[in-house]
Amino acid sequence: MKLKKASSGPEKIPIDMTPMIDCVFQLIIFFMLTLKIRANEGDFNINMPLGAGVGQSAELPPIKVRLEANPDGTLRSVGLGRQSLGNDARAFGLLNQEVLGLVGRPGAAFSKDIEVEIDADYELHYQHVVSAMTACTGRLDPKTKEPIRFVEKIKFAPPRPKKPE
Amino acid sequence: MANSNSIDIDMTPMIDIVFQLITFFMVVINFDAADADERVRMAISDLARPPKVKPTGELVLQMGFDRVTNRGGQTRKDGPFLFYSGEKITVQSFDRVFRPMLDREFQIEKLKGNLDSDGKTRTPVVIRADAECPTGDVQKLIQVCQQAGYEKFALKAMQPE
Repeated sequence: MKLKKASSGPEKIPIDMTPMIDCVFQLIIFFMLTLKIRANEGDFNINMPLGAGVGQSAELPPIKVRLEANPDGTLRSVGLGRQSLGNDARAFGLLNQEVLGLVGRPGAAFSKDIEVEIDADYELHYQHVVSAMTACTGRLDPKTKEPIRFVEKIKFAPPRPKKPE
Repeated sequence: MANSNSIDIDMTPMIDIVFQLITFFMVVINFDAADADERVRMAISDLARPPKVKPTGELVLQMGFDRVTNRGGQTRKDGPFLFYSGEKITVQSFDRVFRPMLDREFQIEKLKGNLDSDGKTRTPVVIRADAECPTGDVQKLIQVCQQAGYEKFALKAMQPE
């Protein structure tokens, strides 16, 4: 009787990797093509209980920002109180400086109680309201690029009626 | 079995890298309809930062335009509309169409026990409005939500790229 010769070690079984690698590359290509790199979204938090009218919610009178619109929704003027600040990007820079002047310094004790009230025309494009909220709430630290907030509370004045076309 | 002339290539490092790449793309990719919605081109703000603590529940409302680009490359836009629950709701029909939907949402919040002692919901309303929406329409949306019992709002803006 002939005995089988014992093998020196386990026999290597070749696995065909080609189909798996094909699938994996297809997956990578799919993910690469469907990937959309988008900028992060951020929030402006506002607390607006029903019936909280002008000057009812805070002890300090609110800082009133008036945004006037042209009939096509573009910005006609930015106003702070009775002062007109213009109608371009520089106006929002001025608004930022003025609000900071009213607050004193970022993080002041009473800054948490200060409220900004935005009173915008009905037709005004929403981007200008966002610019006004940005100008009123803070600025970027030039070194760290992190936001320094000096006003936490923002509210809207009651909506103005739509102008007839 | 490989013959004596064939050269064995060790595929393990490549497969490791490839799987890492797949994992990266799977984690990074975001199929969330709210983010991918091209109908809403939000305003840009330097100070917009994602919330440090994400709320457990939120009601996301998207207001934007139906934009159609013709062969000449010109874009026509209709709206603004509120895109909610698969419907396009005009500002004029907020009270008739959207308010009952909101009331239903509020009832769900009530059943979940998400109400404060004053009967208002703790759930914030996240408003993603297009940069070209008339501000009055956004304010009308806020008003309808207030009437339904919502009083916390988060207005979304994009960080500059």
